[in-house]
Amino acid sequence: MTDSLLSIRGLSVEFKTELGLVRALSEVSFEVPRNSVTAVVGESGSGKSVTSNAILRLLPDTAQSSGEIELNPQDGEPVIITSLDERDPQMQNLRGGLVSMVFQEPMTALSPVHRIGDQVAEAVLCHRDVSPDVAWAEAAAMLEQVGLADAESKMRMFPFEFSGGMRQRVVIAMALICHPQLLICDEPTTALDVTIQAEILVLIKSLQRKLNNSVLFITHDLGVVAQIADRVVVMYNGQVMEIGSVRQVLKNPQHPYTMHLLSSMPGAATDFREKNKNWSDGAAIGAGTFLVEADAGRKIREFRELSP
Amino acid sequence: MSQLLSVTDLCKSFAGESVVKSVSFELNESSTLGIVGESGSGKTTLVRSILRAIEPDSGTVRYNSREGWHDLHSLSPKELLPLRREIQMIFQDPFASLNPRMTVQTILEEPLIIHGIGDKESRKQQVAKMLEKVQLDSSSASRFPHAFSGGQRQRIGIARALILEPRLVVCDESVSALDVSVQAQILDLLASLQSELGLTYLFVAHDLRVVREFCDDVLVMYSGNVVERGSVEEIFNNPQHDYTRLLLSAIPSPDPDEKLQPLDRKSLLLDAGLTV
Repeated sequence: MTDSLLSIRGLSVEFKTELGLVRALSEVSFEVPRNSVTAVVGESGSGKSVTSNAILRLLPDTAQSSGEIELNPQDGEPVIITSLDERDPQMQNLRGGLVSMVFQEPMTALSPVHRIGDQVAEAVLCHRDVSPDVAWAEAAAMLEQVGLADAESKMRMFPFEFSGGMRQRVVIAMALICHPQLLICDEPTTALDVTIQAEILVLIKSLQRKLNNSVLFITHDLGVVAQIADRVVVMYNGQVMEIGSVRQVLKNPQHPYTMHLLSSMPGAATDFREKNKNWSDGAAIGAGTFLVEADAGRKIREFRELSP
Repeated sequence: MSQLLSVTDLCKSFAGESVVKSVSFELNESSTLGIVGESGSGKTTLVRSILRAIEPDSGTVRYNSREGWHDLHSLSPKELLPLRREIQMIFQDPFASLNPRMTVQTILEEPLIIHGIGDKESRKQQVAKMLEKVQLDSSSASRFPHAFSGGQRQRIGIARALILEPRLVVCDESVSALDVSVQAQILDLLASLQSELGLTYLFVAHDLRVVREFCDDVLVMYSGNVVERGSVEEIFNNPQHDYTRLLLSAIPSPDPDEKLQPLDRKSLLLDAGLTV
C-alpha cells in the first residue's frame, strides 16, 4: 500500500459513438501524493480531461470505463470511487466535499442569475448542516482568502460584474470552501491573460501550501507545469508517456514525446527543436508497450524506434 | 528596406469609450511587427481599424501599394478593392472562420472570383498550388472543413489569405487556439512563407513567448495606448515601461528553477507617461 491520496490503476475509458467504440484512455495509472501538486500535461485529445472527469464520475452515459480509482482520505476509510453508484450518497458527499474541481471557463462555471455570495455559500449548505448565516460568513472569509478585497459587498454582485480573473477566484473559493483534500484544476488559467494567469497560479500554489491539500492540475502548457507542479504526468493519445518529478521530466526528459512537447515550446533552443521536430503521431507506441520503472519514482513508457 | 504601412494618430471609440487612443507606428516591408497586450488593450480594434473592417474616428493609415502611397481611409470602397488584394487577414479561430457548407476548393477560390482573377481552370490550378504551399494534400480541395483538424484548418485559413498574393498579412491571434506542437508547425510555415514570398506580418498575440520567437519588432499596448515599442531584443531584455515589465514577469518559464514572480499590478505606475 502506498500512502497516496489518490491512486488511479489501469483506468480505461471508451466512448460509444456512431462510428463504434472510441478509446479515450487506455490503462492509465498514476498516483497523486498528499500535500503536493501533480500536473497532467498533454495536447487536446490526450485524455487529460477524461481522466479528471472520471475521478468525479462526471463522464457521460456513453462512456464505458474499467480500472480502479481509489481515494485515501487523511482521516477515514479508503473509497474505491469506481465501485460507487453515481447516485450513492457517498459519491454526492465526495463531490465538492473531499474532491472538488475548478473548470477552465469561469463564466460557464458560475450561474449568471445568482449572486456571488449565494453561489459560494450554497456549497457549504449542501455539505454541512449549518445555518445560512454561518454559510454566508464562511463564504466571505473564503473569498477574502482567495484575494477578493471587500468580499462582503462583492458577494451581493453578479458574475457579469466581475472580470475573468475575479470570476476564477470565485470559482476557486467555491471549490475550496468545504476543505477538499483533492482539488482538481482543469486548465484553470487557459482562458485568462498571462498577467492574471500568473496571479492565479501563485494563488493556487500558496493556498495548497496553506491548506495542505493536494492539487491535480490539468494543463497543456509546460511553462505552467514548471511553475506549479511537484510531479508531472505526461499523457498522449490516452496513455501515460512519462511520470516523474517536475525537474526529472522537464530538465531531463526521457520519452521522445516529452522531448517533442518541450521542443515545441516557443523559445526552445533551435538545435533541440530540429532534433525532436518529427514526432510521427506516436506510431511507435502501440499495444504491448508498458511503463518501465526508472530511478527514484520515475516511470517512462517503453519506446521502440520504428524503422522508416 | 522600404516602408509598407504608416499609421498616424489612429483613434477609435465605442459608445464614448475610447478603445484606441492616438496610435502611431510604421511598418517596414518583409518584417514582422508583434502587437501585444492583455484583453481589452485595443489590439484587435487597432488592426481592424487599419484594415477598415471598422471605421476609425480619426487618424490616417497610409499604405505603400505596388502603385505608390495611398491613404486607406480616404478611399471609397470601390477604390479600396484592389488594395484589399494586397492586405489579407488570418483569423484566430480556425473553426469559426471557415464556412462549413463550402468545400476547400470554394473557400480558396472565392477571393480569386471576387477580384476577377483567372478562369475556372486556372483557378483550380492556383488552388492546387496553394494547397501544396501550405502542405495540404491536393485531395483536400473537394472536402469540407469539418474533415480537418484544427491545425489543418488553420492551414486552409492561411491558404485563403495568401492565394491573392498579398504583401501585408494581418494575423489576429492566429496560433492562440492551437496545441503547442501544432502551433510550432504553423509558426514554421508562416516563417518559411515569409522568406519565400517576402511577406510582411502584423502579428497580434497575447502569448509573449510566441512574439519573442516570431517577431522582429513589438508594440506593447495598454488600455488603448502604445506604451512601448522596440525590437524584440530591446523589449524583452531591457523593458522601459512598467506595464511591459509586468507582462514579462508573468511569463511562466518552462524551467522549474526559474520561479514565477509576477510584479504587483497595484505597485506599478501603469497610467503614468502613457505616450511614447
